[in-house]
Amino acid sequence: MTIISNLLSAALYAMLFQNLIFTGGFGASEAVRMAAKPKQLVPMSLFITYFSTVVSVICVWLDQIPEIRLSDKIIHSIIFAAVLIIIYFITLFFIKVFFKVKDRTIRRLGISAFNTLVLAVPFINYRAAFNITDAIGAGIGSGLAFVIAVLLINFGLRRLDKNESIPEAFKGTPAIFIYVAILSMAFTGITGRGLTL
Amino acid sequence: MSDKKSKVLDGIKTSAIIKNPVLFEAIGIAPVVAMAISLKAAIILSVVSFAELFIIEMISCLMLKKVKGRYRMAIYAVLGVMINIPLFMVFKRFAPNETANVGIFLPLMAVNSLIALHCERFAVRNSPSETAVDAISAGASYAFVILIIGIIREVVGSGTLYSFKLHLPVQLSGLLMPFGGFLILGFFAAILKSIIAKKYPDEHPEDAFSFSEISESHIGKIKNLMDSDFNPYDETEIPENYDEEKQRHKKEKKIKLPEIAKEEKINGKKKKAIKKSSKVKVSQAVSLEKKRDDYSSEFNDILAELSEHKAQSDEKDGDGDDNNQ
Repeated sequence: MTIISNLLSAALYAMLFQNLIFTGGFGASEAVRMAAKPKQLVPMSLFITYFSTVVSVICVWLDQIPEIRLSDKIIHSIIFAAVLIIIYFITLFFIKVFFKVKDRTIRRLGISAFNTLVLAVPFINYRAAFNITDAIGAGIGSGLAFVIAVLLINFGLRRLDKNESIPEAFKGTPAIFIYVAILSMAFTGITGRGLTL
Repeated sequence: MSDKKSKVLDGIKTSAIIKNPVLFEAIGIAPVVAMAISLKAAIILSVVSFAELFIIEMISCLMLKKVKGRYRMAIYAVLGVMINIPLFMVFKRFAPNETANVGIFLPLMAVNSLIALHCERFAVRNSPSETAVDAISAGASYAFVILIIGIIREVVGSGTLYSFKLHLPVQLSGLLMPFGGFLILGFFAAILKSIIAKKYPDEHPEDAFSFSEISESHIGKIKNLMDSDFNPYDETEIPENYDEEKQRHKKEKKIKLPEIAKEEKINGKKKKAIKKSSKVKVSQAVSLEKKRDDYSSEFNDILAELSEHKAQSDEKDGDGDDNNQ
């Protein structure tokens, strides 16, 4: 029961309050670009959630080894990146074998694996000294935070696109950035501070 | 020579201004909004991003063209980490406090979307010289944006510049938060867009970010992702036989070139011949006219002589008649 409540609270915190996209800017490029093409949001978010959760859990598990735990930031960044790359290749192999998809579409998997959001999660776990349950919650919560961010940005983009009264210079990305700034301000207001790492 | 120069300048203009990676393509936003909060941090981030983009783009242009796209994405991350480590160590030695302030963003720069985008869209399908121009212009413009935003946020948010106190009456420390970064990015993009509209009225920076698919449904199936052309970075696909086609195209061009040259030679010869013949004709006409003039003058002389002769003979006949009478 405690494990489930810990997992859920970690996931809810990462998703709603410590939304990494709005309070930390992690994966902001992917979220903004995905919001402009929401057709594949659900499957892409599933892949991002999968990568962030698996990488997060393995990194926390590795971090329990004292030699790794005591090593500095450079060693940690190498280990986290290595874990992500290995997980990516294993996933690639399974998808290629079981789904038999086209080469050009497999390449898109790289976008959901290699982004600042997925790689930031193990660093946050390391800083917060999370255990494996918390790590699962943080991984799932980060993926869901991405979904919330994309949906919120997409709903805003739909209105911005129809709004004729926006000055010419602000049409396009300037308006998007200001809209995301307002959302980011709201999320920072909930937590009371930005994400400090 | 001037054609090459204008091509290079055009490439720089497109990569750095019209398709500015951060301001108009919304790529590589994370380090800008989260960590570009002071000039020192901005310098570290801009040096790392420039070095990474240039080195990885050149490597992917020279060595990764034949590697499949799905492997290239992982290779960019590996290269990013390999470039990051020595830079991280150098910065840690010479500026330990500033490196610590940048936090986890230095290692995260290894998976910056800017690298994947420029390598996939440009480096793997262009020549090394063109790739170098793209990497320098995109890297420099990205670094420039980081520096400007770092300066503004440090001055307005902390009231300092390069850690020197400016004694400003007001400090807006909220600008040091990520929302401050987004806000400044928005205004910066709007300023640059209005400058482009005045200076280059034919260019449309808003085309770099398409709104055409925003109204589509959010619900997609996992199978659709696998079968569709989902393309968030708007890369154009390289066909499997891209290199073969490129080489064949080159060969065809080479074959065509001598043919064209031959044709041009023949045409030139024909033209020369026509010119020559026309010249000959003109000269012939001139000489004919000259000859005609000569003949007519000769004829006139002969006529004059004849008339003179006739007159003399008439006179002689008249004298003879008079004597007979």
